[in-house]
Amino acid sequence: MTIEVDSLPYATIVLHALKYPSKAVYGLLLGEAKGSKVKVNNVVPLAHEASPLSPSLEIALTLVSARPNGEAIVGVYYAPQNLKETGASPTAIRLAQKIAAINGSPATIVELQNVKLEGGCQNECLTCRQSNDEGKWKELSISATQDTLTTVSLAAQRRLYREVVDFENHLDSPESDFYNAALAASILEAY
Amino acid sequence: MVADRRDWTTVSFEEGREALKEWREEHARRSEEVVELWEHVLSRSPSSLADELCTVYEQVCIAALDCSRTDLAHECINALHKRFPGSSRVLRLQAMFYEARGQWKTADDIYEKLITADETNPAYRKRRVAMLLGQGKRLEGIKALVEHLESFITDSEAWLQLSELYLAESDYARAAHAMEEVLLTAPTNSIYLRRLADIRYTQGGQENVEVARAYYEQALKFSPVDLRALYGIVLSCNTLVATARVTPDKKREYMTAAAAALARIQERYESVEPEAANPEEHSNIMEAVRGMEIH
Repeated sequence: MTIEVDSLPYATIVLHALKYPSKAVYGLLLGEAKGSKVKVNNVVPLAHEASPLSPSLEIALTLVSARPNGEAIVGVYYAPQNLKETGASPTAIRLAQKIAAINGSPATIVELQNVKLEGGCQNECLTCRQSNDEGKWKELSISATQDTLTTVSLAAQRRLYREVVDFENHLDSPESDFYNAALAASILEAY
Repeated sequence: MVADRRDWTTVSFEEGREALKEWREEHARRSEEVVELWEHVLSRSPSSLADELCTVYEQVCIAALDCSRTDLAHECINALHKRFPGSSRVLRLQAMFYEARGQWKTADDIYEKLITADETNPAYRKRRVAMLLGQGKRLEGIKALVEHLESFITDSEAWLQLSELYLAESDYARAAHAMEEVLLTAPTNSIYLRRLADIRYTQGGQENVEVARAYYEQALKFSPVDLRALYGIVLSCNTLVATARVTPDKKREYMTAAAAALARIQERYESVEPEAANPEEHSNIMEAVRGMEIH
């Protein structure tokens, strides 16, 4: 299996985690999955707590998958609450299983290694898991291009994390855009 | 209310002071912004803070520890120590300083001393729980929290934390019970009511979803435009309609309730200025919400 995460989703995942340094964060991966090849083109930030509950996740899944020209949901991303914590949370696994059931194909879990963010977010910091046919989780590293790493660290330097909107924020104020169109423009502009 | 800003480096002294005060009062955890405000604005003239100075030092110290800025935290502790030598409140900050550096044993010894000196103060015991959680020892944290609650049964902050820990263990029944205890201290708090509903919905099964729906309705009474509670009613009613043992009367009731909630959700979305954020996605959301209706 190979996985590729584009600069924009890579940066958005990091920024979402940076916005909530004392919390875990969750979101959806959008893109293409062909056989064992996964390409993540965008993400939708969902929640910022250790164990998000079903209702808001279910609503978000419904809204995102109902988009007429929207990209497919190919998995979940997740950053643990504690700095040194690793390993997918039960919530991330359940959410991935739900997505896999909808798609009829395995879902991917991308996990942020918090410790790798130290020193200005200049290092590769994402790993990924995918369930194989026996339902076991296989771990893989995700390589990032220099362009991606520069995009991420510039976005962090410019404190763009303060602009991330997740679905929980949207439920508090439906005026805010959890697809983060404006943020995407700022991330690409910063590079 | 203090508006959300992207940049706190250029605000006036008075604005900065107001923002810190508001965050203290609402217990907001905006550590990075607190540090930014202090370094760029307020530290230029600490004495102008007058009576507030010591509280601000304490606030900045905790925020600095949260951002691994032990240098700044150290400055704050020194300033406070000069004013109040031997104060237990300052000693607590000192212990938190050791926590931030991962010197758990040193921190724990200080808490031990503080607890012996003041048995009725729950704050030090709670730091010990926080310390276990910081080290990733969730089960030990739960045990310590349960012990703490035996002596301080009305500590709703502790019950809330306990509920969250049980959720991380996927133990929904205990998480719901802890949340019920939180609710006892504030029976009309719509956030707590909705949270309990969310837990019971997640737990699943006809009976739990029925309870969830009742709590969502209750939450709405105190907060009529809460989108989460409205969505919660739609979800739980849709689930209940699909259960095998539902009577025709009940079925009609659920469908009416779901339709009413959906209408209110649509109304809320319609009140959003069309040019607000992302018009295309906004209309997609409206369309998807219409699609949630059961026929």
